[in-house]
Amino acid sequence: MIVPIRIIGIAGAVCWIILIAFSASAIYSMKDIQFNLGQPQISIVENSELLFSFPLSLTNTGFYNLRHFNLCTGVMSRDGSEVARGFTLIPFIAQGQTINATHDMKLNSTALLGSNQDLLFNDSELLVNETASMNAAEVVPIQASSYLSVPWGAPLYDLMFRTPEVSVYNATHLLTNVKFSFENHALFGFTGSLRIRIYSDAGVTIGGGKTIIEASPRSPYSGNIEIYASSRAVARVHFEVLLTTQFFKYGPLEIVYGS
Amino acid sequence: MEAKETINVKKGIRKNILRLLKTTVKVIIVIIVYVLLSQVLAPASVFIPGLQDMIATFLLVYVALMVVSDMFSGTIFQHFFSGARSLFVIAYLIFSLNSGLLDYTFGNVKLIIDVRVFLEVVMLLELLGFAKSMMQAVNFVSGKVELTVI
Repeated sequence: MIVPIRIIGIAGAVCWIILIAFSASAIYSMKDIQFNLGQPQISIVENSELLFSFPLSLTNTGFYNLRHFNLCTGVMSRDGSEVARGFTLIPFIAQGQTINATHDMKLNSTALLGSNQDLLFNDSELLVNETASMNAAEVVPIQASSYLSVPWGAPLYDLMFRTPEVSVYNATHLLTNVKFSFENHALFGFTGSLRIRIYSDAGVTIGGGKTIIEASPRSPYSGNIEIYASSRAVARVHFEVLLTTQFFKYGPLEIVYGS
Repeated sequence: MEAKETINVKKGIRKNILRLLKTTVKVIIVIIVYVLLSQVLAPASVFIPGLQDMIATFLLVYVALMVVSDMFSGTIFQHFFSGARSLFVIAYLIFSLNSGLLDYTFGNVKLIIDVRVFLEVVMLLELLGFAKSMMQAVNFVSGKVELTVI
């Protein structure tokens, strides 16, 4: 019985040495893994979705290979509904290797701004859930997750319509000039059209006009729209404003003029 | 007769000194391994708070049981203490490693480390150590019985 006991003892000791050496070196290797997420590039893809492409760099100078590196990003509005999700999987990162990839995330701005119209006019914050996971030394799963908030810039911040300037165009029509302005605080620029229809008190259309808007990201915008309206005397009119861009639709907004 | 007794006492003293030396060498080896491991694991202590304390407590109890086990060398208690050490390691690691799922929070970052594979290997090795202790105890008792019969 002595021999089997000794063999078990020696085998156990060898296994312990291997296990301790592996565990210690695997933990020590963790400090040699570098992960960088850069500033996003924004582009427009199909269905007018905004594509945020984050440059991702992962350097593994540790002792072991890494498997199943997984980066998952979820963006939620303040009501908790998910508006964007990004997912990047790198199956294998060899020891001493640097991997450069992009972490893509599509933001459906139409859905976001459709359900949260105050985001059109008010700067706010979106909640971002970032989760990174991997198999360190190929066998030890590690996951890090974080909640953070990112600022949301309103695309139509401080939207204002000035008092219309009315002048006589001809015997039957008046020329109404409506000046408007807003600040695009968003990361993206947009183009679209602004339509205004003028209705009489009785609800009859007496004129309408349209203008094209081209707003650059993070910049103020001002424009005007000329409307030829029937010169039938009306004491009180109301304007119906409809804004359509590739990312969102807004309206109809009703503005009443007159007494 | 007196001379024989003196020789036996001398043998006993020599045996005890050797046992003490053996234990001291074992403890020194464990302390050296601990010091080396502490330096290697120092970067991980930033991410895993309490790791150093966890290892220190573990080693303290492990060394105590090892010393007690070696002090009872030559008796059946040595094997019982050795078996108890194996069971202690299993129980301590299950509790301290939260059944293999380590969960830490730093500010708004949550870190989860799954060390179940490590825990399973350690448990298997310790069960092997426990089985070895039991086999040694059985071997010890059978040896005594054989001597009595002879």
